[in-house]
Amino acid sequence: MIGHLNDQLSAYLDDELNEEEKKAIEAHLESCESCQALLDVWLAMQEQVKDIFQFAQAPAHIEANVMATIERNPQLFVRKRWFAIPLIVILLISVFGITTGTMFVKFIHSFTRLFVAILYMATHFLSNVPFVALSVSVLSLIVLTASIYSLRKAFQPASMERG
Amino acid sequence: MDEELHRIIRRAKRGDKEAYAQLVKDFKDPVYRYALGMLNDRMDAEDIAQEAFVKAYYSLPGLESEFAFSSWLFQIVSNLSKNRLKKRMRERNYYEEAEESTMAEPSDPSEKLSIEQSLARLSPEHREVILLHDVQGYRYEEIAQVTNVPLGTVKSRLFAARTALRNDLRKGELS
Ligand SMILES: [Zn+2]
Repeated sequence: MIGHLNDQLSAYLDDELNEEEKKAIEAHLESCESCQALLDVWLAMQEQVKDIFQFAQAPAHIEANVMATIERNPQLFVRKRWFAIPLIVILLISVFGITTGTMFVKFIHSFTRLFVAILYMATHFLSNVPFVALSVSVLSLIVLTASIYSLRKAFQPASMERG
Repeated sequence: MDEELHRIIRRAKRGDKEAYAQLVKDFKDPVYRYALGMLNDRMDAEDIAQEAFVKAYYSLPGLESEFAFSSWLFQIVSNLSKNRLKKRMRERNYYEEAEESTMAEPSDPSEKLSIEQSLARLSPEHREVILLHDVQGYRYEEIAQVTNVPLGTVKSRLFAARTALRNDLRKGELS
């Protein structure tokens, strides 16, 4: 009965309990008629289920059909040692990868050196440009100041004479 | 399992067709019975049994140990049977065939339900554990492997299946 032993009783029927659990069930069964009755019902049910399929036999041609299908498609059977093929492929790819990898690294390395050289030249050139520009502007500023000064000097005597 | 059987399984694993034919011969009845119990239809059971053996042959190289062969084979049959049941359910929902749903019912409501009919009315999960245990004679440990559930689930599921089966049989008795 539900509320009594449930799946423990069911497992007892199937002989799936340890000694301790078995003893506990047997002690309960001594005094519980409903669990005893349930056990009997289950046992009878089990026999009935077994009986349904007792004489059920697979059709004889199953075997022939299965073997014929297998004969038609032998390529589908992958032997375990064939697993070596993907392994070899992976190995080849890795070896190829490593060799081309080192080549690639060398390639990148020389490229980097070239780039650094270009960068160095470029910065050097660029750093020279402001210097030229600065010198030119400073020079032109001096020339401008000088010309303004000389210009003012040229007009000054006239104004002083007036004042 | 005896040594002879293990030898045959090892040979079949290497692709020996003669050995595999022997395995089909040895296992076709239990496999067919299980499929029949799950599907309740001879044609479908035959179909699934054949499909399972063909599938098992091509998957054999992946079988880790020959000791696990029978539970591994039943795992294949179990999955194929459940897929077939799902396909049936989809078709039934699509066509909404009323006649099919009454297939497992007795024509006369006062007629007592047979154990076969009640078994067919259980959920696939309940029917499966009953068949594996009572018909195939598997221990809980093996059922756990076949159905891919924990041992405790096998125990509670078998109890639930027995309760459901008994209740269904009693419904027939009472009416
Ligand atoms: Zn009790």
